[in-house]
Amino acid sequence: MASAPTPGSNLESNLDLDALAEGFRRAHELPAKDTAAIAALLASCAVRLLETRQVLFREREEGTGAYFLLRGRIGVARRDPRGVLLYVSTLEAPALLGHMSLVDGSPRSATCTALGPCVVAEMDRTRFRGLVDSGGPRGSALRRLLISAMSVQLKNANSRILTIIDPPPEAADDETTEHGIEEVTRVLEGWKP
Amino acid sequence: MADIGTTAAMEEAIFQLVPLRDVPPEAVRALLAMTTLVRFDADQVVFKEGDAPTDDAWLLVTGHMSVCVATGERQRVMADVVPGEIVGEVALYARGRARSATVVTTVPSTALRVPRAALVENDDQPAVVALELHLLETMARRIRDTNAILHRVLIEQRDSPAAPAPRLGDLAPTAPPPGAAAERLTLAQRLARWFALAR
Repeated sequence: MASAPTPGSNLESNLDLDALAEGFRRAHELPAKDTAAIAALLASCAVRLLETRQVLFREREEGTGAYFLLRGRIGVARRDPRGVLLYVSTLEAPALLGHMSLVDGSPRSATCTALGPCVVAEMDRTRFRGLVDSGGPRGSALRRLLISAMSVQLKNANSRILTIIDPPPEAADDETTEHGIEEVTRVLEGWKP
Repeated sequence: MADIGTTAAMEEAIFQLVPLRDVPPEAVRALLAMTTLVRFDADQVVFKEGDAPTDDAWLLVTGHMSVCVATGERQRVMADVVPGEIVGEVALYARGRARSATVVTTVPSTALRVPRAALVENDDQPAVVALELHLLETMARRIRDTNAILHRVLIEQRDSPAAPAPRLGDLAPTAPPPGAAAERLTLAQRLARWFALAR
């Protein structure tokens, strides 16, 4: 895999698409036949490089694209009714983000910020909708990726709610979680709206 | 639970389901040929949280189901399922994952058992595309609803003096808003109230 993809360029000229596609397929436990279709999806995307603390998109914006996170970590945050930033979660590559607004047409529900250097592949709204609505291997692979990713999203959100209601006894000693949150805090504290 | 044949009336009910009503009848019949129609009594478990992974999901045709998750010794209702909705979809696209919730009927119901192969091996089938699109829209709605609840819970946790330390990553200042102390409930009380309303 090349180390320095070019912003805005076609993804195929910079990165090992098959390896990236296989990473997404395995992460979402999809059929082996989907690797080639996912690679074709990635090939049609544009590369974007994000610096630490760079915002990919903001809460309440209109959704103009969906993103495949190829490298790095993205912090997800929302504002409370007083406008105070509230950390929600961290996404690590390989991951999909920004797809919700394109699925149901609603505004962005959260602000996504790079927690370190990131590489994302951007698929614009027109192409995304065209593929999601279509038959064939690429449309099916994209739908399966989305359904799998959204299943995990839903499961994680439900788990977090239930953890708050009935916290497991060992949670109080979860130093790993505390350490991770401190790390994310350091990055997002520098984030300015 | 009993497998039943597809009567003309039941076939018509399937044709009228939201995800399939705009699909050509011959495409719906092709889908039906790959699925099994099953009848459930009321209060019957369709599948249980923690069950071994299987390769099928369920499309509810008539009746009603509840999605429940165990917390301690209690079962909490997390979502309702109405005709036209799919449950157990994770098994279709992410093999190897145990069931993450229990699904139970609340009234006598009928549902189509949809095997993974029916969807994965029929990429161009219009009924399959329609089912997947409907599933995406349904999941988007569920996620937004759940995230809205989670956001409220995180705010409650941050602002409630009885809440545990902000372990879930609250990066914001912890001072409550002016006047917010008019009704001081613990986080557990507020959640209990919310879940009671949600039921």
